Amino acid sequence: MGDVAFWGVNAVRIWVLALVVALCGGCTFSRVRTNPEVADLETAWIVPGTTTYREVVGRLGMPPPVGQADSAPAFVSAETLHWLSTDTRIFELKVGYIVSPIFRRSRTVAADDVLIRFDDAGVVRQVSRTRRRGDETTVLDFREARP
Amino acid sequence: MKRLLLLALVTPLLGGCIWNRAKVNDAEVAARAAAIVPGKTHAEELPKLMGTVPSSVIPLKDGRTVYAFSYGDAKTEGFTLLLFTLSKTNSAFSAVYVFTDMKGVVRHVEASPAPETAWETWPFGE
Repeated sequence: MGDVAFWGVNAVRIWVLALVVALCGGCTFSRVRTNPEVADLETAWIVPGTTTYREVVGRLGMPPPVGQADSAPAFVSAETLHWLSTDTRIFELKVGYIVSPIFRRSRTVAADDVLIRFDDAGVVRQVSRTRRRGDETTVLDFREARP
Repeated sequence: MKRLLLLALVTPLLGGCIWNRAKVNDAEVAARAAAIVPGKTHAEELPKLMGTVPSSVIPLKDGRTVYAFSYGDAKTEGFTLLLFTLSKTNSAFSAVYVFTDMKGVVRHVEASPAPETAWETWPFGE
């Protein structure tokens, strides 16, 4: 078999190459962004102790679900409205076509988060807005109503 | 014959472009919500008016309830070159929230902005 050649290349090497190709599914770099508009939400106009639920919803709208539509309960409750945007990077290394991927790394590298809490009268009690980029989290806004 | 064999080996290595779109639930619920009449519509009527059952039911204080009708859109674009694949997915979700009182009568209806997503390929950078 070693004497057989394709364009001067040993047939054994051809078969080894074919085997490697068949086993290697390749690698994938992908990115998933969800609700990116949350990063642009402005909260500076909200005055804890004064601004009402109606004013917040009228200006910002209701929070969208994140990840999958069924996750809505986490973002609307009796006392809170919670907006969340995520940016996830995924690397996959596939080995073989039957069992793949064999290696996968997924990391949320960025997130924007707006949380507004209300009291029983529907008045804003707390505003929180944070931005995470990589390992660094920045508090953009954090205010509470004073009794 | 040799060339055919080589072609058969090389062809699977050549990739191509990727377009994928995933729609979650029915976006028409946003328009159908206009048929809800606060003060009159009852929670039991919502599935018929909205054309679907709520994706979430959120209990609030004092027996009040929020019925969430969620929908979304995800667009993936990318390409494969030999054994290397790049892709980016932009997804956005929205929901119509129907608030009812303890008797199950709709008090008000709110909606998050309609999802807007773009086709993008390059997964790196900001």
